[in-house]
Amino acid sequence: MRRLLPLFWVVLMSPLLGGQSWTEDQGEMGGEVDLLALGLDVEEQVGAPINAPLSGPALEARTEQISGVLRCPVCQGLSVADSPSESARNMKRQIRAMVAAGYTEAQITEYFVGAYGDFVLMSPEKRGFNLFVWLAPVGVLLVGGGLGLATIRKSALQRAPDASESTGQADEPSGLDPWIEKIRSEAAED
Amino acid sequence: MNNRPSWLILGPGLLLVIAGIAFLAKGLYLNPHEIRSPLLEQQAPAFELPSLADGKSVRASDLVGTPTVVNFWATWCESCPREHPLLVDLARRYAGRVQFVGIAYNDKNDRIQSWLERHGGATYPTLVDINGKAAIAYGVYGVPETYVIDAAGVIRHKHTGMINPQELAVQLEGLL
Repeated sequence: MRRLLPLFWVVLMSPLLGGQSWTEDQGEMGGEVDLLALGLDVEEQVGAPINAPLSGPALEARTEQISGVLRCPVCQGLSVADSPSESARNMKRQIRAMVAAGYTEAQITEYFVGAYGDFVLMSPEKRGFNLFVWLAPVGVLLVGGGLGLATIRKSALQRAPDASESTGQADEPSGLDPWIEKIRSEAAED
Repeated sequence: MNNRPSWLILGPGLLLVIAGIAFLAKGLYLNPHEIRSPLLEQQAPAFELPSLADGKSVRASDLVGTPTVVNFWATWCESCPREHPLLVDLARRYAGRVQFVGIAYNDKNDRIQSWLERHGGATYPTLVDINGKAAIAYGVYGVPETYVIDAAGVIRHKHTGMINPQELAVQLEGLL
């Protein structure tokens, strides 16, 4: 179900981009930059880093994991980890810089949500209106299942009286009984 | 008679299905990039970027005190050549009352310089967002995007796509 949620969001929120007056993503980095430099806004948005600084394979693994839970804002349903776009690469550099400085996953997602809104999360948080996304499928299953069961029970109840009616009809005199009795008695005489 | 559908059950069910389809259909026409920015009515994020003209660092805090229009753009942006003269014109009209700042996103200095020369120069400073950190801080989805920031440094308006000069002028008049 978690895998289907991004698809749901794409269907729900996918833009009709034809005729847009702006460009989503191109360009390239302008030159030599400090890849682990943090923006000035980071600490004022989410405070000081909580964890110890990371480096090496642990830094790359944590960067990849957090990139997987954040949406590339210019793509159709791709995470930052999966997108080759320049925007996603910029975001991944920012994630790596924050992880390297010791920011937690919660702090990093809070930072991106603060700039882009909940849309930047691949799975919307289970709060507020977002709960609808999580609960609606369960609700539809429950209501649909309940209606299905009620319909099956109702038709079963309707069939039961029909069956007794047909039995009753068999017990009723059909007018053939005297003839059947006559055939039986003749057979016995033979 | 007994097989006739129960409208007491089917009616609400059908209504639910129709409401669900309408909800999803509406979603198809929504543009996620036009979602209200969480930064509106918030203090503009801090940044420190080199100026194209002399390479000196400019901080967001340097802009506080005067209403500011921050325009994210790029030389590879399709509508920026059409938007640029509109911004230049507005910057002239509001000179001394509103400061305009261009932030070139994911671009190179030489390309920015030659683009500006080809498009009539600039009447306002251009900063270079080399690695997109300022764009991320402002939640930029694409270019051009324009932010109107009041004298206290609070973001009052965000416009996605090419600006509408009349609409932007109304926003600016509201700050003066």
